[in-house]
Amino acid sequence: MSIDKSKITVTQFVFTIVCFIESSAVLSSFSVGISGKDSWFTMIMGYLVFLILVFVISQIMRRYPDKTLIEINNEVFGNVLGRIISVFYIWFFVTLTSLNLLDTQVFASSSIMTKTPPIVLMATFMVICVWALRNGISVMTRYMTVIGLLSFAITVFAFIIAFQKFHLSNLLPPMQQKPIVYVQASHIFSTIPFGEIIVFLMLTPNVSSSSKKYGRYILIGTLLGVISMLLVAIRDIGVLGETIKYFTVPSLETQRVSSISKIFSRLEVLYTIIFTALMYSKIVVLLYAATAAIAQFFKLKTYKNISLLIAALCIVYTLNLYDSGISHGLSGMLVVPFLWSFIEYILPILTLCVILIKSKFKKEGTENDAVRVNGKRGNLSLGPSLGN
Amino acid sequence: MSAKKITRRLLSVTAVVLIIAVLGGCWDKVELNAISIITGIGVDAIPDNPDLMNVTIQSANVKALSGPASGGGGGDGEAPFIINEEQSKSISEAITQIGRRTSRSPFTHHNQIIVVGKDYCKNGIQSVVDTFLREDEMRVETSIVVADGTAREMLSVKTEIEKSASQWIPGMLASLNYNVGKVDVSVLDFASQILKPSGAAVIPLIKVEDTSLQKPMLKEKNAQQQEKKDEGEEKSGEEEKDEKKEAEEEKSEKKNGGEIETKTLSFVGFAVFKGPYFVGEMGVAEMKGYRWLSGDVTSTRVSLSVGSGTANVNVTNAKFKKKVRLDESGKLIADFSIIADAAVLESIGIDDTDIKRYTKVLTEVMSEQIKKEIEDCLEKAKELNADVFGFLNTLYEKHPKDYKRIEEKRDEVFKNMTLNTDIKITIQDTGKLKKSILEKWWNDEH
Amino acid sequence: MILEKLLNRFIRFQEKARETPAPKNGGNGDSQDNNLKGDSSDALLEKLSDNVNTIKELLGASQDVKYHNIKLRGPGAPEAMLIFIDGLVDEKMITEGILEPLLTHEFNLTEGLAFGKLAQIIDKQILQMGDVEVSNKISKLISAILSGSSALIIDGVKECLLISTKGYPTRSITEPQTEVVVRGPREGFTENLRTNTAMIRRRIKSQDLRMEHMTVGKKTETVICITYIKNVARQEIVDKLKERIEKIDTDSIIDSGYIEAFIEDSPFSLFETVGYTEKPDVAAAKMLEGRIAILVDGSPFAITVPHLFVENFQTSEDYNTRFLYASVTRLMRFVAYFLSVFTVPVYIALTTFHQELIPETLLFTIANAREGTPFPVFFEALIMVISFEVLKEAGLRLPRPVGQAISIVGALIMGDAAIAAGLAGAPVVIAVAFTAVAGFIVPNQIESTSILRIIMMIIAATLGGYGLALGMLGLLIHLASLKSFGVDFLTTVIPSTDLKDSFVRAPLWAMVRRPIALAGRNRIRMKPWLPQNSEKA
Repeated sequence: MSIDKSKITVTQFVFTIVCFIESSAVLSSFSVGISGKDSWFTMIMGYLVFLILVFVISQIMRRYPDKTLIEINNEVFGNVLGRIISVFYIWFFVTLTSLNLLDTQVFASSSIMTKTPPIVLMATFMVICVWALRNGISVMTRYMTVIGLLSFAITVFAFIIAFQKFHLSNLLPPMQQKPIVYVQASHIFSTIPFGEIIVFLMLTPNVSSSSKKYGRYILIGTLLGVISMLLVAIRDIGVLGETIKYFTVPSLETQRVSSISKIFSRLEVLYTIIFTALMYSKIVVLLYAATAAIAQFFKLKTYKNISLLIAALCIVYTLNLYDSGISHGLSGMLVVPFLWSFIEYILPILTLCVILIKSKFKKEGTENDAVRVNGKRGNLSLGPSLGN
Repeated sequence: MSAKKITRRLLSVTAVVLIIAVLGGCWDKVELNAISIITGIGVDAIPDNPDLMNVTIQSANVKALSGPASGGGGGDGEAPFIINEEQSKSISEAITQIGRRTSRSPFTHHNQIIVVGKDYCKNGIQSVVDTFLREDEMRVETSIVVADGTAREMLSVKTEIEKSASQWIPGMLASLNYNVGKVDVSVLDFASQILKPSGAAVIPLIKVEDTSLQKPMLKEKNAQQQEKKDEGEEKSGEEEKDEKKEAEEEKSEKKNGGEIETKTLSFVGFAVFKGPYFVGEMGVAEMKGYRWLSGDVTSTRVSLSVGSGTANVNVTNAKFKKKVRLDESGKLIADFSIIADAAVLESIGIDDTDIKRYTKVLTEVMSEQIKKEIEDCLEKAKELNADVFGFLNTLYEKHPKDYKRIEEKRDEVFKNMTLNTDIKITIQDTGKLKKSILEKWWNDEH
Repeated sequence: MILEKLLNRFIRFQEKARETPAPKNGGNGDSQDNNLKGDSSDALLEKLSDNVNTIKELLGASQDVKYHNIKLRGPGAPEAMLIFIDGLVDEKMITEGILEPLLTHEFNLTEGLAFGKLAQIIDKQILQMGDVEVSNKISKLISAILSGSSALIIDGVKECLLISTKGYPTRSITEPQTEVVVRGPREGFTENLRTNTAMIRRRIKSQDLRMEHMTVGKKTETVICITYIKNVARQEIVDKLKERIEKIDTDSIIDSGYIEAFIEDSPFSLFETVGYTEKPDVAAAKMLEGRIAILVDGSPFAITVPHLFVENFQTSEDYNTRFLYASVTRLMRFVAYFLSVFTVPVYIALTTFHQELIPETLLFTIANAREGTPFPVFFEALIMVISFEVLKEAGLRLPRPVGQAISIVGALIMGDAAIAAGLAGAPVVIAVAFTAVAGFIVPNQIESTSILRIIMMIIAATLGGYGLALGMLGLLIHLASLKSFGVDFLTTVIPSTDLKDSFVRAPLWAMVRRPIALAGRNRIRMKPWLPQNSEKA
């Protein structure tokens, strides 16, 4: 079978989501650079927008519990259109993997390994990811619980340490900026950390859950993740004050500044390790999604064979994505949110609409046998897949 | 698994491992004995050349620094810290250029202190602020200090107790933080302050002071040496040797004997900045008021003169409340209240038979004195047109709309502001004595 | 490629060796064995001399094989031959149990009694031994003699009697050297299989205790015993184990370690997935949790299956002491293990890549220590680690009285002399010394920590902190993918599974159920119990 058939428990699923979201706490400079002091507010707004997506995804998951995204596309849109849409998703997964890899490499290069060529950092990272991938999902996600809890504990610890330098007055006064700033920042938040959850539609068949309340799991996971992100944001704003808009990686600066006596100073090492672990968990899930999607799309026997190939492709892609870190930052602020909105929000909503319309027609069809109404795509092979 | 598969797997794993081992070729690897650890950076203006700055860099000479395990260290002769100077357009350039003159590569991550000469400040410290915030290797929490004099002199001072100025200054700032209240300012703090509406900040001002002290120990040593030489002279009685010995004597006198010039660094006040520009100083007199107004007092001694007597009181446990508002005419009114405890340290010539009256008198005089200190400081700040206390900030934080109204003329508003102070200090205890024992002699005239 | 060719040849050779399927009683029977040419010549013949000649041919001219000719009493009573191997048998048993009753009995072999029944009569009515088997195969006779039984062949009877008379000298039960406890039983397994099984029987007197014997090793014919408790261990694991043992097709099984090599899941991994113990109480405790123990004749080490990662950190003493202190020591072991592997790599990474993370004063001290030394930190550390490994190994091999002196003196001198000679800096020596000592807290992981430490050192020296983070992740992945007989290696370490006995030891009265991975459905150990013994005054 092209995808991994091993089962993961609900706890592992939830904590994978937590790790996924927490890893974005570090790279918040896209949005923090825009909303500055009020980032905590825009984060909450972005989360609320995201709840729409949660609803949409949970509805889709509920109807097709044993199918991955690619299969769902084929089912819902028919073979031709479904495949075209799957191509969009595949491009999305691969680009996401590459972008996150780029973020990891930039962070590592700028903070600790300044002179090492980027490809070495990326290659070694991908080797570990591919190794995990080849061992299967259950091995991959086994540690997410530990990593998630550990990083949460470290976030709390870092918050406590930064307390000395924390000034509540830095958070005041709230909401003094132009409204467009809030809209833009919320939009960024809803797409870049949160919207990427759509990737988990590739993992749904593996979750061994009797109740299939996927919406609830995603909600819990993202809620925990968002709390962690809020803690980080509030801490950064409180410590850095007005300067937060100007730093490229604000969290790192906060970490450098905070200390308790000389022993606990310079704790950015802790931070870097946790960051690496979190990014690893995120990239491994993304890589799995990309590989499994491609494997399913081309109807290969197993995804493990091409994993190394896809990883190498991602590395090459990463090196060619942007000319410089500056255009990366700009693109992250201005271009990417719109691109992702299309794939993360519009496509799933469209999918759900089609599903609902189809099911409505099917109901009408069974009630009134004589009236055969053509579905939107003229595709009446609804079959048993619509598990209503 | 077939043989082919096993072989393939083994070979590919070996290949990958070898490649990674070779690739991970230690680009970032720096051996400890190839770096020169920079501990202090100083920036001065060059009188004739406003474009260039004179950068002084103090780095550690590890061999002479560390403990007994190293087997003897460098002895007295070797300096524990090395000073290098360079003239250049920017700090980073200077650091790289110094690499021309040392055998090791500079390592700025452990930089403890930035000293800026007062003359340099007058042109603004933009370069310093930007470099230290932007460059990866510089840490934003390094403390800045303004030197009343040149930074070069300050960093070259041979200090007591600590081995160099770059360790002495942070130590002093830390101890003041602990005992008196927050005194040190890091680059990040400075940047945060000037970005806020008030736009003003203070930086500690430090001065090099001479203290010519004769060290008694060394005098004895000198005397012993003198005796030995006398004996030697008696024994040998050769003229050439005499001459040599005289020459030696002179040298050793210059080095060890007689008077030694040691210098100390003292904290003499604050340098006030509006934005990155230096606008003035607050001396020791205004420092006290600043302490009170900044709301950051751990403990402080206040000297009072009550009638014909004097008292000395230790104020602790201070709690501050600052309320700022704008009245209809656009005038800034600040209500500042202090609630603190006090303990009497010294009390002479004040009638303390009735303890209630005694405390009342003391508290009144104290409030008056503190109010005066605060007002003096506020006057000075108004004179310099720098709201270093953050009144405008508080206005912005609590009443942003009002602030927006007066934003353009905020300097004027600050100049015309009124401050209402309300001080409530309770005397908690009078020390070990209930009453002064010297009552009998109070009215004696000598 | 050459490697491929070699591997191919190796595999073909193995396949040839497996041409005849192994018989049911354990990977033994094989047509390559040169003594038997098929079933027909394996049967005993009627004439005594024929049989004896065959046996003499097969066994050769070994002087310790004794052939004792006896003549049974009574009219028409035949001759008989008692064959045994001197040194393996208990002479007293032979004299009192076999020869005396046999030689004092009057055989009355009249017409009615066929010769064929003679063996049965002797077995059931005459011999005074408890363990007698009647057989008509020469192969069985040979293996019985080689195991210490005596064989009685009677002229004219096609059957022989195999009487167990094992009486070889063995080591007495002593305190094991490797697992020392302060509080707890001090008996250890010996090399005698029967003694070992008896020790286990003494501790588990349940009727569900099963002891299934198998023989492995073509030339050694080692008897092994698979012990488990029937309704506690999972049957799938037992079956899998038996299957793997039956596939063993080798010459020699000298020690339980040999069996371990053939049955383990991941031979290439650093971590062992099969545990071992020298103490019967430990083995019994493990069996009571659902594991299976394998006792091997000739080895005082019993191996237990499945083996989880946490077990390396559990000692029998943990359960005999109170739970608070036991939990503290357990945590300390985990921390010590972690430190033992990672201290030196972290030191290398910090001093070469991330000097900014070291507090200032410490940095000056370390830099000063580095001043005089010629090698980069990695080589310094490598030299010290290797010299420590050498010292450790040498200390093991030297005769006891000399060994201790040399290790202590050697360590001191090497450390001090290395610093004085400027070969290594003091911080490195301290780091390595601490690492070494910490490594001994978990003694059965010494092999894995040594290798792991060196791997991590190389990673730290090439890629610094980033490499270490990746290395740790890689290690976690590897651990997560290991399985021991179908049970995940890391069960009970990952949260959301049974954590009661991993990082801390829950009180005995709180461990109501057995770990699910080992015992499956047979989970309930005891009724839930809360401490209520204290009487309120």
